[in-house]
Amino acid sequence: MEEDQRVLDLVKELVHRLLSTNSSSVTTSNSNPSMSTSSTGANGTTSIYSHHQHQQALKYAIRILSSRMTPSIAADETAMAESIKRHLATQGKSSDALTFADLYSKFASKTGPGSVKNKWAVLYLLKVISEDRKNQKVRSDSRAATGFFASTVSGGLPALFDPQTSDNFRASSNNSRPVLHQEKVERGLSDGVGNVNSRVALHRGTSEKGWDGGVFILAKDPENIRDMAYREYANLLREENDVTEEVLVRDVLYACQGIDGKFVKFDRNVDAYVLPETLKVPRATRMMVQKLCELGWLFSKVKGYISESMARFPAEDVGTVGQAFCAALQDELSEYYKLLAVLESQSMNPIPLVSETASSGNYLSLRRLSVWFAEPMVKMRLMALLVDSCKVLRGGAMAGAIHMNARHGDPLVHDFMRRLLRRVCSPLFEMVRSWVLEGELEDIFAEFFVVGQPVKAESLWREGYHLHDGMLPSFISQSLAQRILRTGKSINFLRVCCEDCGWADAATEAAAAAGTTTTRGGLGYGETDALESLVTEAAKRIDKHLMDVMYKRYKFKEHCLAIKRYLLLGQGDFVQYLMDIVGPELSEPANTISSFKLAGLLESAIRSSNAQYDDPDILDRLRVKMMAHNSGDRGWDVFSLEYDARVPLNTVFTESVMSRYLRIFNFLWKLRRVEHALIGAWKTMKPNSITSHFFSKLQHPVKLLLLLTSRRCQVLWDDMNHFVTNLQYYIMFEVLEVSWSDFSNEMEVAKDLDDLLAAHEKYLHSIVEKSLLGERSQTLYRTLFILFDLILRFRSQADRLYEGIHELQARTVESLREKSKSRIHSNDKASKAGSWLSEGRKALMQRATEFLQNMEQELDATGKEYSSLLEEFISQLPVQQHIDLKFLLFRLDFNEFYRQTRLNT
Amino acid sequence: MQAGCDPSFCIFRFIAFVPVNSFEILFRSSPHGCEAARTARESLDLVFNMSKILETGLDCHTLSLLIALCDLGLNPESLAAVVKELQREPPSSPMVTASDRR
Repeated sequence: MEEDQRVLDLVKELVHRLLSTNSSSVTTSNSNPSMSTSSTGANGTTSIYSHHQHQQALKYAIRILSSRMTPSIAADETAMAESIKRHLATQGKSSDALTFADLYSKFASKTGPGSVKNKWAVLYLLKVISEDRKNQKVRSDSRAATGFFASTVSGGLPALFDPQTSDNFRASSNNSRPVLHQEKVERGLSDGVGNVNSRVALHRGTSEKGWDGGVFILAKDPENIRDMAYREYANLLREENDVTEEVLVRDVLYACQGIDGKFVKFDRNVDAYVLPETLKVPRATRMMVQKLCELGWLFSKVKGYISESMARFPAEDVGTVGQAFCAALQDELSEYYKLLAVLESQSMNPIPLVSETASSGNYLSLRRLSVWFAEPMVKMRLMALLVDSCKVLRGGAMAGAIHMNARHGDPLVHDFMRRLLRRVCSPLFEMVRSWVLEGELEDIFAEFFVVGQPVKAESLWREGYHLHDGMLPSFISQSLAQRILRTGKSINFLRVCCEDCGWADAATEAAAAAGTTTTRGGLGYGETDALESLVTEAAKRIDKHLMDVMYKRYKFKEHCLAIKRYLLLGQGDFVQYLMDIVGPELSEPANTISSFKLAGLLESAIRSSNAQYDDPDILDRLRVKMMAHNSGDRGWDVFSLEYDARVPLNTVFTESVMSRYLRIFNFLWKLRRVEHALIGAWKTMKPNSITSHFFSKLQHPVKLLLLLTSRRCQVLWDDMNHFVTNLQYYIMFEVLEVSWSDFSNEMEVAKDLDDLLAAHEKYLHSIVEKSLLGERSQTLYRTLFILFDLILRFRSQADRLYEGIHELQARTVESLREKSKSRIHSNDKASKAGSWLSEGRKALMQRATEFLQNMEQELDATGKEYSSLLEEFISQLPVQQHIDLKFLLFRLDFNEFYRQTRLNT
Repeated sequence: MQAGCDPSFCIFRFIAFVPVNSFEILFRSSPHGCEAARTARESLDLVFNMSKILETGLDCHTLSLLIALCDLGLNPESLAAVVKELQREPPSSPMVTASDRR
């Protein structure tokens, strides 16, 4: 009540003041009434108003005040200040606007005791009062002017309405206000205009009453023209559109789910959702509908793919990756459905407005819809793109294709693709994980890039598994794929061939080191680093384990060494014994030799050499092998040794590898045989006292011949020996030992079985190349073998020669003895014996001479042939590519003897 | 012409926190000291300047009355209407008082 009293008092005071200022303004015409400094108090001025008028005015004021209790607009202080500023600016008083802004900011900052609490109200008050004054001024100005002036003042616009039509307009405007407002609001205009209109209407109402008969200047009031324009626009729209926007919006929402709406239908010819031509709709709306329905087209494409895949699934054409892709797409589509549901519910609701008089249309217009659809459009387009590119792919190839599309700068696309790929690649990553940690290949649909095939244990490593590049996704590099392949292969190898279970520990260790577990779901897309580290760790550990198993449990190094010692004739004493023992046997024709006998001989050779101290397991594997023989072959041609390398070593020592060893063995064996033969010849050739004694007893021509022949023989022997020794040395030291040391070094540093295989391959290859067994050395090889044959022939000739000499010697000695003996005895017998003897001696000499001459010729022939062949051999050596063969040449021809000979001929 | 308001016109300041029965007491100074008075004076000054820019034609005293009424919660639209009506030309005012505006 106190408040009310105070209010009343204040109102009284206000009324008094206003009336008194009015009276002062009357006395001073057209002066600014705001600065009446004379009126300092409530009392003092003689007002022209009577007390009765005061009372009346007071009553009136109270009535006004009580009639409108709530303001018609929202109490927003800053908005009010803004609108005042704008108003000032549009009137051209920009400096005033700035000053006002300044004042307002200062005003707004005043808080606390003593400040104005309801700042908005004050500002609004000022605004309204100033507008009123302006309107009043306008009207007071115009009152003086005539209709003609009015039009010029208003800028040439004719006075469109006389009071009569203005009345109608007012009435019609009142009626049309709801429609107007609806349509205006539908276009998203602010309700401030509506409010202004209501005020304007009110104003006009008051002015109607006040200005009967005056010229109505409506042209100066721009809001009127605006109203008119809106009305006309509304009529135009109603004529143009057969359908309202609400219905179109609803149809578009249906189309975006792939369903035909009332008007929007799918046109197969155009392959899009369109409005039919018959429907009268402005072109802009038509185009907008078409653009929005693109979303529907994309949606139906994606949905079609999903349902197709689902249908194909029982036929096992779609793999796990494809299924994951469909699942991910369906998740995205459910998000899309959610959005559509929200939009549909929104489309039914009107927009809430502050103004009570205005009413709005539906929230969702086509334009609003296009804003909402911006993001889903991007996503749907992406999904349709992916669907297109993955239509024919499967497995790793599909993952790779989707990954190529993920390289995009837009963060929205990036996140979306990341989510999608995570799901799509999870089966792949799972496969990798189980392959790398357990060696399991669970691949029903053939989607993995490691392909296995059933093979025998010994070729498991080389042929059991290989990479299928078609299924390799692009985010896994080739080297990583190789490592993955090798790791899984090693586990399988260990499990199958080595019967070893220690790899499981290695696998768990690896997983722990890489930070994941050995269970499912540890890895996902986007964690290629994690995958790589897991694979590296697993590869490292399992390789190490495999190497350990190979070296320690299966003694790979020892077996390699054994092969070198036995098959490559490294164990000299054993080979010597073997040759001694087996030699006579092998001279027989091949089909008469029994391998059991040879096996027994082998055993005895082993036992009589240092080889007996070797590991019995290794000695067990050494065997005699008789190769396939034709008739006419000697034992020498078909004899060979073999080494039985069982699983898992036969991964390294495969059939082809062993056959190569065999070839080398044959070559080396032949070389040894030749050497052996020459040494044997040397044994027979060495001079002894008997022969030297015998020489002196011979007659001169025979002696000379004998000397010559034996000399010739010795020279030839020397030549051959030089050749064979040097060749043997070369083979032994420059080929075998060097290659072996290289191989040993590589074995030390080999990290996995692939490295080991490669090292062994290199070792064998170098041996083969350097010992003239390669393809490039075919001619040399043939020449060499002819030389060997020649040397063997020489051996037999030398043998024969010396046999002959020995026989001669024996005969001569015998005859001499006989002769001496016969001298002691009587004539008859002696003469007979002597004649016989003398006859025998002469014949002997004859025969010896003949024999020696023959031998000489033969030796000559052999010698010539030998030297020509040797020259051929040596001449071909420099042509060879291999650098080590140059060493052979150097050894053989160190003083260029043969070269000289060649040049001289 | 930036003449300020007479500080004695700061009526609204007293309305804010002093319960008074009649407005004669309005001119007495408040027990809360000069701070509040200064703020009130400055606010009134600012509003007066703003009203001058907007050409409302209100003088300081009337303005302070109006501010006080606004602060008490009256509708500014109705206050403006009152101002407008009572500021009309004298010949019209007696006729206007009785008519209905709605």
